[in-house]
Amino acid sequence: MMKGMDKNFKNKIILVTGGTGQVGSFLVEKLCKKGAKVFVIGRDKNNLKEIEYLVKLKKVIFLECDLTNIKDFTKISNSLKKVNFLIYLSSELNKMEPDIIANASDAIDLNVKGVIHLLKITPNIKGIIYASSTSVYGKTNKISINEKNITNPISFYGCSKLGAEKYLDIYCKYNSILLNVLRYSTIYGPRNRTNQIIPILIKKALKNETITLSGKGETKRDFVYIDDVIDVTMNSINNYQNGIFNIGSGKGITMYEIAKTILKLTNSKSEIIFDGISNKLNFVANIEKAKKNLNLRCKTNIDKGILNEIKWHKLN
Amino acid sequence: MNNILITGASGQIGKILVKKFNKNKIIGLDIIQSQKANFPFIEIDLKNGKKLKRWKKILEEVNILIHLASTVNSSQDIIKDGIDSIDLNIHATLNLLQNLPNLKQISFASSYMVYGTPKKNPVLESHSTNPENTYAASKLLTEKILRVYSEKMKINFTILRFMGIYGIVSPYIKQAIPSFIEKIMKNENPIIFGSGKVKRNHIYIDDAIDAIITSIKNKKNGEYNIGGFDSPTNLEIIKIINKSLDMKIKPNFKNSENKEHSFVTNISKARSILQFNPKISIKQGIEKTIQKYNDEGYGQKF
Repeated sequence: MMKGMDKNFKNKIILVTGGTGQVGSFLVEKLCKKGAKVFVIGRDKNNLKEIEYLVKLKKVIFLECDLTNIKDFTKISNSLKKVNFLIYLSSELNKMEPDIIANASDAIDLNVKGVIHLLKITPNIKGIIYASSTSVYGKTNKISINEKNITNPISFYGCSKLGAEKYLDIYCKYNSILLNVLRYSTIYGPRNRTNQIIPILIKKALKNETITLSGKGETKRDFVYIDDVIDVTMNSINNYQNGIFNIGSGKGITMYEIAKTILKLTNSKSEIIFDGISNKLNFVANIEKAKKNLNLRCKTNIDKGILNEIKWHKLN
Repeated sequence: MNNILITGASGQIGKILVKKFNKNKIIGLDIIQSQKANFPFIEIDLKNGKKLKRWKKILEEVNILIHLASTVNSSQDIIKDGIDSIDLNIHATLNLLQNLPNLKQISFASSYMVYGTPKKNPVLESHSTNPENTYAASKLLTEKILRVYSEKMKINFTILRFMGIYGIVSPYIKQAIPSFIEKIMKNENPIIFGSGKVKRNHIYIDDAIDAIITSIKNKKNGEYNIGGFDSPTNLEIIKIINKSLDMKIKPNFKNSENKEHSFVTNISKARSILQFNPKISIKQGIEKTIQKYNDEGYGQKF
C-alpha cells in the first residue's frame, strides 16, 4: 500500500449506499479503519448485519432511507450536506416477478431515479464511485469483453445500470466531478446473500440435492472474489481517476467446473445433471485497464475463494 | 381493423405520418388532439398509466406501435430535468407497453444524439453511445428497455436514430434550416452559431416519414441511422437558400455555447437492410421548404 494513503481518507466524508450489502459492508469496515468519516444509507436500521458494531461504536452514521421514496430523502438531506464523496453500491437485482413491466419499472426507479434523487441532496460531492455491472454488455460472441464493447443488456437490471452510468456521466461532466464506474462481474465469497449461481449451488450441495446445469455445463463465466473487489475499490478511491473499468478475474470458468469444485469442497453427494439446453451466455471480462490503472490483482484462487464462501454459508 | 398505434400523433412528424395511412388502420395517441381526426384518437398523458385502462378495448387490437411521443427538452441539468426525462420518456413507454397485450412490432423514433460527440465521421450504428443531455440519455435508455422487452416478448423491434429533420413549417421549430429561411425571407441576416463550417446530414421530412413506413413494412430488427445523403455546412445551406430566393444575404456569426463539431451519420445499414432510400437532396429539400413557407403565406402569419 502506498505511503500517505490514509491522509487521503481522513479528508473524506464518504456516503456509501448499499453499505450493508456484501461489497458495502467490507468496504465500510476498511474505510473506517483508514479514518474516513462514513455515512451509510440503507432501507432498514434493524438489519445492519455486519456493520452493526460500527454503528454502535458511532464510527458509522446510519441513515434509514428507501432510495425510491422521495419523502425519505427530505428526512436525511440535512445530514448529507457535508458529504464530499459518494460510493454508490445499492442496486435492485433482477426480480423474477411474472409482470415484466413492473420489473422494468422497479429497476429504473431504484437504479436510475434513485441515483438522481440522491445527487439532489448531496450538493458538495467532489467524486463518485458507481458500482455498475458487466450485465450492461449483454450477449456477446467475443471471448473477452473490454470496456469499449457495445452495450446491449439482456435484462432490465442491465439496462438500469447502463442508464445510471449515462445520467451520472452527464451530471459529472456538467458539474466537473470525477466519476469512476466499476463494472463488477459476478462477485462471490463470504456475505454473499444473492441468489446467484455460486450460493445456489453451495446450498444445494450442502443438502445433497441434485444440481441441474444448463447445456452441458459448458457456459463460461467470470467470477471475482470479494477481497479482490474490495482491494481494487479501495485503490480506486485512493488513486482517483475518471473512467469505466471492468472488475473481474479476467478468467472464464465453466459452470461444470464450479459445480465440481463446490461438490468436492463440501464433500457433497449431490448429483450433477445437464438439461441439454445451452444458454450461450458466456462472459469473460477483459480486465487489462483496471490492472494497469487501478492495480487490480486477483490474488484469490477459485478453490480457496469458494471454500471461504462455503464456510460462511455454514455459519449463516 | 385499427391495429397501428401512433404515439405523438399531434407532433410535427406524427401529424404528417397519420395522413399516410388508411383511417381504418390507425389509432392516434397524444397528450392533446391538435386537429380533427377521422380515426380513433386517444387523448392522454402517458405519465398517467391508470387512465390508459379506459381504452382497453381499442388498445387490445393494437399489433403495431409507432412510438414517436417524447419530450424534446435537451437540458444537461440532471438535477432539474433528469427525473422528468425518465418519467416522461421511459415510464410513459412502460405504461403504454403494459396496455398493449397483443403487440407484434415496434418502430421507435430515437435520435442521433444517443452517440454524443462523434469520435469519427460518418458515424456508424456501432459507434459508442455517450449521451450529453437528458433527452439523449432517456432516448438511449428507452432503446435498451424496448430491446429487452421485445426479446422477451418475441416482438419485432426497429430503432430509427433520426438526424435533425427539416421541411416542417411551424412556429415551434427553431432549428438551423427554418430559422435561416425565415430570416432571409424577411430580408434579415441569418444567425450562425460558431463558424458555420461544420456538417450535418439533415433529413427532409418526407424521407423521414418514408423511413418509418419502411420500418413497419420490412420488419428488420436493430438500430438504424436515418439521415440525408447530403452533408452540407450551415454556410452552404445559406448559399442554397439565397440562390433559391434570388437573394444575397450574408449571415451574422455568434459564438457557439458548446464546442462545435460535424455530425454525419452513415446510413448504409438502413439502405441495405431496411431498404430505406432517401430521395430528396439538400437543394430540393430547401426549395420544397421555401415553397411550403410561401404556401403558408409566410410574412403575414409568423
